[in-house]
Formats: sequence, C-alpha cells, structure tokens
Amino acid sequence: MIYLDYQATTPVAPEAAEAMRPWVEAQFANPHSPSRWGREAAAAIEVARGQVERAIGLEGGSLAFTASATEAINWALKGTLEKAPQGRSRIVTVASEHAAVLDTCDWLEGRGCDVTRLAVGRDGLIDLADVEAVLDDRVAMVAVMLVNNEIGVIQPVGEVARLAREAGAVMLCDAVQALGRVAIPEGADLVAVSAHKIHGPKGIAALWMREGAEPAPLLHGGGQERGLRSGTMAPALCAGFGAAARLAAVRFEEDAAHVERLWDSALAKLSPGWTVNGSTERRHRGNLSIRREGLDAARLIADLRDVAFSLGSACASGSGRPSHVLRAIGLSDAQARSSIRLGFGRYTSEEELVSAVGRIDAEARAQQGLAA
Amino acid sequence: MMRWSRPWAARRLCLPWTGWASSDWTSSTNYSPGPGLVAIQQVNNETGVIQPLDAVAEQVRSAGSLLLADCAQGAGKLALPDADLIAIAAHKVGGPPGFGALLVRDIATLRPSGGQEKGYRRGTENLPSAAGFAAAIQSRAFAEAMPRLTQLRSRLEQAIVDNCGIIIAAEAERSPAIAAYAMPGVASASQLVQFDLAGISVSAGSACSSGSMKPSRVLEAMGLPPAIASCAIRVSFGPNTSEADVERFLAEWRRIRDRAAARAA
Repeated sequence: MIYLDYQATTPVAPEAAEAMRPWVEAQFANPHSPSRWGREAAAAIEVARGQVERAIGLEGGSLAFTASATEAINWALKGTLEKAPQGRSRIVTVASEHAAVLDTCDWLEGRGCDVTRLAVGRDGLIDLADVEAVLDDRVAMVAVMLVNNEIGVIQPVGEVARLAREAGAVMLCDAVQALGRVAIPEGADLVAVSAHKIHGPKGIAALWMREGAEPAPLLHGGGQERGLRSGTMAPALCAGFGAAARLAAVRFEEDAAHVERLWDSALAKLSPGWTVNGSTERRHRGNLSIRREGLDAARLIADLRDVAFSLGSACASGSGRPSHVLRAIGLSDAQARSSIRLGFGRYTSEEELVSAVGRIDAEARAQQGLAA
Repeated sequence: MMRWSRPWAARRLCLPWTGWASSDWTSSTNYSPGPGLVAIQQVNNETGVIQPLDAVAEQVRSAGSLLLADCAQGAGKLALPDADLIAIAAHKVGGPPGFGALLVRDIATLRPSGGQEKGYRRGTENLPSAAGFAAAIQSRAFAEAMPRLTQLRSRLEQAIVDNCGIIIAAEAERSPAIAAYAMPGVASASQLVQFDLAGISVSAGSACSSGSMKPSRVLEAMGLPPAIASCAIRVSFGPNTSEADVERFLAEWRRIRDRAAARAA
C-alpha cells in the first residue's frame, strides 16, 4: 500500500505516538482536578500549548484546543459574528474555502448574515483588488485559507489580513494544511490548525487567537480554556499534537526540501497529457492535483486499490459531487471528474512515489486505449 | 451583535437537598403547554444522586416534549434511561478523554447539516478514540464492579457517619460510583490538600470547578447549608478501587478530623 493522501490525513509521527503513550496508559487523571496527578496532566497540556503556539509562530495571542479544526472554524465564525459590533454582519470569504468555512457561512447566512464569496482565477488565487473592493465597515469577518486542501495553492493571507485590519474586520485564516509547511504570515486575528494534518492524532485541533479577538464561546459548560471552550481536555491528544508541532517546526526546512524533491520526481514520471490544477508556483508542493482529458478518475481509484489517493477532498470523495474547488477554478464537471489529488510528505519515499505515479500514469493511458 | 434567538424560553427547577424523588418532579411539572426539551442529568456528577428519569420520561412524552439525558456519569455503569437523546462520555468509563457520543432514539429528531457521521456531525472522526470508547464499554468493567462497589461504599459510609461525617443526599438513590461527604468544621480546600499529600485524589465539586474553590453550584441548588457545603468533598470509585484504598482513605479521614479537632481544642 502506498499512501498518497496527505491532505486527507497524515501518518502519526513516532515521536507523537510516544508522547501520547503515558497519557493514554498510566496517567489518566482529569487535567482539571486539583490533585497532583491532575496538575501533572494540566502541565503536560501547557507544554503542548507552547509547542503548538511556537509552530504557528505568531506573537500577541494564545491558543485554545478544540476537538477538530471544523469546531475551531465554526467557533471562530459564529463566535466572532455573535460579538461583532452593531452594523457589521457581513463575512467575506472565498469560493474555494474548505466546507467547514463555506457551510458555516451558509448557516450564518440563514440567520441574517451577508456572505460575499470571492471568485478565484484559474490559478486558484484570489485577486487582492477584489478583496479591497468588497471591504467596508459592514464587514465583520474575512475568512481566507492559507493552503488550499484540494489544490495546494497559497493565498496571499498576509496582504488580505492587512486589508481586513484597515477595514476593521476580524481576519480568520484556516491554516490547517499550511502548518509546518508554509510560514503563517503575520496579521491574522484567528488561525485554525489541526493535529492530524501534521502527523499528530485525530480528534484534536486548535484556534489561535490574537489577544482581544477571542470569539464568544461555542461550547458552554465547565469553563475550561479560560472559559472560552468548555469540555474536559484530552492530555494524550494535546501531548501528541504538541510533539507533532514541535517536530514540524524543527523539521520545517528539511520537510520542505523533501517535498520539493518529491514534486519534481512525480512530475518527471508523468507522461504528456496531464495538467496540474492551480498555480504551480504559489503552491505547497506536497499537493499534486492533476487532470487528464477524458480520464475516469473514480475508475482509476477503483482500479488501483493499493495506492491511496483521492478525487477532491476526502470529505467530498464519498459524495460523488464534483469538487467545488475545481469548479471555482473554472473546470467543467467533466474536467473535475477527470482530476485526481496526490498528496505526499515527510514519510513518503521517492521510490514509492515514483512507482505509484508510474502505475497511475500507465493505468490512465490504458483506460484511454493508449499503450502503457 | 448577531442574534440567533428564536422565541426560546428556559426554566430551571430547584432540587430539594435530600436529592430528588419523582413526587417532587410531578409537582414541578406545571410548565407551560407546548412541546419542549427537558434536559436532566441521570447521575449527578457531584453527589451521585440518580434522578427518576423513567418516571420523568413518561410525563415528558405525554406532554409531547423530548427528554435529553446527560448520562456521562451513568453510562456503562447503570441502565440507561428511557430518553430521546442521551449524552455519554468515553473517559468516565475507562475510555479516552476527548471523546463522547450522542445517542438518538429517532434520528429524524435532529436536522442533518451535512458532513461526516451521516451528515449529523462534521469533522474528521477520531478512530483510535472511538475504538477505545467501544472497548471500554464492551469490557463491562465498570458495570460489573457496581455490586462490589455498592457493598464497599456502604461500609465506607457507615464509618463516615460513625466518625461524625455527613453523607450528602444520603436518603436518595445514588450511584455507587460517586458520593459527597462533609467533614463539619474542615474546609473542603484544606481536606483536598491533606488528602493530596497523602496520595489520595478526591475533589471538591466537579473537576472543572475544583480549582476555583467557589462553592459548588450543585450543593447550593440543593439548599445545603453553606456551613456543610463548604466542608464537602467528592469521593468517587471505579473497578480498580480496592478495599485497601477505602481503608487508607478512612484512616486519612480520621487523621484530618483529629488534627482539626486538636487545633480547635
């Protein structure tokens, strides 16, 4: 089995699994208990918090752990709109955002918010002039992701954040795919990150909040996380996230160089006839979203059961709907259905990637009646 | 300021300090007509008091309303009540923290919004924790410990009473896994520190609020006199709790009480 679906989730780093072990096994205390075992667990969570904060690398804020990035994004959007000053009830976002942002915006729209969804070009990128044109004192929030989960393109988040600040709006950056891969630019007020995309465990994520930009709570209850996010915290998951974040920060350059090599090797192995979806320059190159005229991508995936890759996003892969991202960059439904996403990273070897790409290429050509 | 408000109204009912009996519930159910959501905890997390949810469920249903039961402390230990919605947590029955579930009698009660969990809960599923939760429940470790804990605890409580302690809601039906005891004259915070130094982990109120040292909202709602509430601690048990553990706890309880008495003298 060759795993090429790094945007869906990533293999857990051995260091992260090791950091989790004591908290899964012997050290089970509730971190909010005042006993010494509880305080040990609370201390482990604080260590992890520092590790994730340092990997994010922004100053002037702090983070709260959540159960998923979806929760962090729901919280950021709903909690900011709830707190927004009178007259600010508009959200500006992008047509190619993750479903966690777009569907939450749809929900908010049904409750009286206005939503502006900016278009992207064929390269998948927004035009800053479009952002500038829609920002005014009615905008409460601007939500733009740093690295796209389907096509890997990098939005100019730093510039958007500057414009958002000038307009008095809160800037949310979905940095789930970016953490550990692309430096998170200064300027965002809220940043959502997830452990399982950076070789940490599933079931834990975080929202980084600039001081003063904390959204109203989404979850109410025991008052954990300074009253901002109730619910017993999971020391094991936090410790795993912290270890993964530390590793991502330490290996930032090394991982990036490895991904560049993998990208070049994969492209070199593809025969003519493939097109890369979205910008190849402003891109996290661990994402190779490609299409081929006339290819039945679903059949290709079915025929290569021992290579794990996907159509658009993992969430949408089961649904059979064409990807909203590929449509946003101007692809027809047929072109979207002839696209596949290959995702690779730290634990992908060049050899296995080249072997898998070779087989994908051969199978695609065979499907179209061409000699392999 | 955005508002998501609909014409919702919430009502809180008061608890008598002995716990709760179904007759109290009956006399309190003069809520306004029209279907609503009644949210009640099965087992109180600070006192172990079991609410008569099956009786409540009947009345809720005949009023055309839905019953949401918080069974975080009861699931995997006691039979689940006849509720429409039941919330449970993995880490209260030996599973991992950071994982819970909502049991829904009729899925049509909820409106799907798309995404994972058949469109009812978005976010990548946490498979290792799901497997841990399932294994913890299937082991029946807590469920099978309940008869033994019932006996162990009744011996403990006899000793507590014999040593001038007070059992909170002693008369109410209580889960054998949770109890609250007051040691008159010794502040909860002082007891916690002394138990902790002796290597015994107990708490004052719930863990979430234990650090805060505010008076327990639960004991306050029960109308417990502040002099008693401020001296209460929560003691809870599980399948690993042994007779020796309980003996050690009792010995420490006596020591703390004797030290306080010596200081007072």
